[in-house]
Amino acid sequence: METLKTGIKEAILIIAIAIPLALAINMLRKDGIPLFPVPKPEPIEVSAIPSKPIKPELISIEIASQKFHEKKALFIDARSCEDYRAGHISGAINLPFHEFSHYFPNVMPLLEKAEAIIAYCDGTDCSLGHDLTNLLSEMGFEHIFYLGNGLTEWIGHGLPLEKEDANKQS
Amino acid sequence: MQTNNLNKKNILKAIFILTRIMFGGTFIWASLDKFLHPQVFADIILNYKILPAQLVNLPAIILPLLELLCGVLLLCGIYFRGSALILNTLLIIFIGAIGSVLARGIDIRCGCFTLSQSADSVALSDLTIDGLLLLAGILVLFYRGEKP
Repeated sequence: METLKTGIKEAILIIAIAIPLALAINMLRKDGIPLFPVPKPEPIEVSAIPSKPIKPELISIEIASQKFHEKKALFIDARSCEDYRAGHISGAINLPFHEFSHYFPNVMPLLEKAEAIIAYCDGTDCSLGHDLTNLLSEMGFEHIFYLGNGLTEWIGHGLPLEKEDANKQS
Repeated sequence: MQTNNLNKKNILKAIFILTRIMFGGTFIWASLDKFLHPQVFADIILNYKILPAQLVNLPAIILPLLELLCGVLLLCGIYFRGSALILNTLLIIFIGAIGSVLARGIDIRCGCFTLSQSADSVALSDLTIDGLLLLAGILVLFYRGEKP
């Protein structure tokens, strides 16, 4: 019993030293972590999203242009924020595929309202637009399309662009 | 007869010292990876699905240092009872957590001694190891011989 009492006294002292020390070290180190993290959004659990996933389709520049002029589609730039700022389809919002979980919660209300969604990237080798449409489709969004060789095609057809429009960025 | 008793006492003391050093050394070793990579450790704790996401960082910050400190104290023979008591309590918590993961059939990394992604999933062997460590810890805690 005496040994246990000694143990308890010592343990209290050790804990009293260890906790502030651990917190201080965490605060000072470069890779320290927040004490109470903000929970990450869970993009997959979106019950509000329409069901019935459908396979995303490639859309031609002509039809994309028509939907653009009729304002019947929401254009999504799947590239990085830097690329988006350098130039994007007029009115498009930015949802970088590689930071999807970070940006998705802000964009979700717009996606839900959109009649159609057209994702794009740039260049024939870039698959971000296609990947993004696949992901959104798996999440249950409907009427999703991707524009192959997106921005190049768009510019080639003399369609309107925007640059450095921070307000449109998600 | 007295010599025999003395020998027995010395042997017991040697076993105690060896156990104490091995027990402390094990926890020093176990704490290093967690101490160096707190975020990875926090993610592993989250995978156990025992604590809410907002509360996993606190143990990820405190536990490695606590294990390290207790391990060092055990190695040095200072406050070894307190250190053993803390580590035994942690071991009981770990055993409960591992048992609950096994019972729920969750396939996750243990995060017990290494945070490596190639580490094996939680298994019965982890329970055995923690059980053996707990036995060692109890021996250290309740050893009534002279202070080594």
